Amino acid sequence: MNEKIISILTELRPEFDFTEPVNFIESGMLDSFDVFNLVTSLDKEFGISIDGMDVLAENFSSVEKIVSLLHKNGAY
Amino acid sequence: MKSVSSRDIILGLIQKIKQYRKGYYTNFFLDIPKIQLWISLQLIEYEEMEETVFLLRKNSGFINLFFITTGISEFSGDIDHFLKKYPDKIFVIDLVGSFSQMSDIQNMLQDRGFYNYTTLVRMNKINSDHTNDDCKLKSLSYADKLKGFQVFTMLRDYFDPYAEQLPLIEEIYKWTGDSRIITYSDDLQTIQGFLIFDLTGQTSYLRYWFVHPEHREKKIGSTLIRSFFYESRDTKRKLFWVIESNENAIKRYEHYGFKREELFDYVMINKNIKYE
Repeated sequence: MNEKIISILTELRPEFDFTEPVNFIESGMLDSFDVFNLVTSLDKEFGISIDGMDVLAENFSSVEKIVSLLHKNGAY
Repeated sequence: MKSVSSRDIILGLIQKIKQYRKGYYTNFFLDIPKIQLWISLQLIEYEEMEETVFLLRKNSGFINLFFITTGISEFSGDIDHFLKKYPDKIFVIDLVGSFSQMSDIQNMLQDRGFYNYTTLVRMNKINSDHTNDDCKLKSLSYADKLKGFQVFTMLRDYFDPYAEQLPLIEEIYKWTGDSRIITYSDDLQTIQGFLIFDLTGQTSYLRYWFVHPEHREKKIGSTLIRSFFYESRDTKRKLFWVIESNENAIKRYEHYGFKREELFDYVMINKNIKYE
């Protein structure tokens, strides 16, 4: 799952290294437009629908947070 | 229309659309600090239709219209009903995406009486190769509140309200507090040019860059942009939006190393207002 997430992130913003242990939002690697695109890609890739209450940027600030969000929304 | 009184109302509206599990299509990107400001100033309302939620951000003489919907065909029916309810209002819709992503919805909106007002294109500069020299000129300074107010007035006088998403005075004052507005002034402290930027980690955003028409051809613009490069010397990516038809401006930005992205902001209005 981690590799798939990193691949989606890299496709979205190829100029950044998403394997770095940084906060993707605070470090300016993802903005609100990217988060929308990320939600759409993750929904499609994992066959889920991330809950609307969860689409806040803070839930996409690291690969670990995204994994936990995906699990919460039924992805395996 | 109902007032949006909290961020959670918006999240609930997103959830309402997402739970149809038919699609999630929107031009509303959750910039929480900006939305909190709109909420605190009671500038944002919403209206629910079948499979679309409309968010209305009151502006000066017009409304920025945002939507959250399940798909284009559902949206087309819902916006028909919506527009019939408010025939006299001026609605401005920003569609952000690539040309191929946006062409269907653009056509649909044109069929419903919207006009293409103008298009902006995003430009970026990855990894600076310019010298990052510190421009410590007497003429340059960070705007204080007073100068911030002058900048606010100049934005109103010289920028396009439909296309350029002019900031509220509260946002200007926030930027002055954060040293995000650089002004170029004469000895009498009259502003001849300014630049507004934002820094978020590895990304810097050039928001507005302006030289007063009476003071052009004096290298004020290049002085300001060099100071922006200095301020954002630790970032990896610099971004900003420019009107696509402004070829002279685009050439100038390309001169400074910016490149066009395949990302556009199509500004559409339901009245035939000409972009000047």
